[in-house]
Amino acid sequence: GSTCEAEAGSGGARPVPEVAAASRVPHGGGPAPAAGGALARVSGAGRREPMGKHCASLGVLRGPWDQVFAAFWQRYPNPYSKHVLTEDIVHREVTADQKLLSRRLLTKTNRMPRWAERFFPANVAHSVYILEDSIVDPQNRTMTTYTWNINHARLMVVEERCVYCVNPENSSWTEVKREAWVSSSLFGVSRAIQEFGLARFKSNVTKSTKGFEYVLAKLQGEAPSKTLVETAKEATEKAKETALAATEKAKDLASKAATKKKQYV
Amino acid sequence: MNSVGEACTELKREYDQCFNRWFAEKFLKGENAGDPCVQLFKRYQLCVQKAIKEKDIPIEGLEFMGPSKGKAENSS
Repeated sequence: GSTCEAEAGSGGARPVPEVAAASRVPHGGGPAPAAGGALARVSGAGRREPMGKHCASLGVLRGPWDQVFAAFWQRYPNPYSKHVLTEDIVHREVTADQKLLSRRLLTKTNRMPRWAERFFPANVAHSVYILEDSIVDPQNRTMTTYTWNINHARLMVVEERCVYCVNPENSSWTEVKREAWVSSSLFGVSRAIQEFGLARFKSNVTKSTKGFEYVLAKLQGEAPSKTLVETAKEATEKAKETALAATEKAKDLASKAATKKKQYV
Repeated sequence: MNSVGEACTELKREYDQCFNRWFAEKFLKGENAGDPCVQLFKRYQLCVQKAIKEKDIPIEGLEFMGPSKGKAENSS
């Protein structure tokens, strides 16, 4: 798999094998993970294609766990966070077993390349809302976080899970295991377009062949056989049915591609 | 750092200050005598939850830590 960091080896991060990916189920239901491999969908030909993108990495923060966990709440603002506009705690509780559960709401600028701004003009004006859920466990000296965007979701969803723990090689350092998934329901829309396109093409092939046979028979001086006239009518009917079925299937695929929950732009 | 509700930024700062002190000095050390920041948190939440509703930010009904995954899970 690929490392999540932008530059190879930055912060001592290294990629983590794809094994971890098998445990994930995407939002809104979807195909169950294929045994022993990355999340996949099976096409009619039995080909496996990964849905969405995945990265994983192992990194280190050069500080002891308690300092790192404290710094986690004081992360913003910093010189690298100009794109983060607001930060709020919207839920917090201490559980019976002394763990701290928190939910942090962030708003970030929505920076897209120019081509994406042209394709998705409605998204340009809206900031991105992101929730970060976290569990701090001081007894086990671990922290787990889950972060994802709650708007622009029809366009793209990015999810990240992190686990922070004491570095096994150096107890004054903190290890960060990071995994992320990037997915888009537009993937499903393009599948629907392909399915519809193929169904319409097949029905056109039928019409094309029958039409050809019809004209050929006439050229041969024969009255087109009664059967051919009959099958011409049948072909028109069949073509109508095929087109209707293809439209229904495409609608079905497109609505499956949109998630069940209400989505915001 | 600003709050999403412009009027809430000051309340947020007061709460954050209280929380950060309690977190490092008490919570991480396993001392859980009680949360000294309850009042500040309540005031801050009243403000920010109102701002969230006004801006139609869809934070309701979302499962904590995301959908459950079944057996294979790498966290503690």
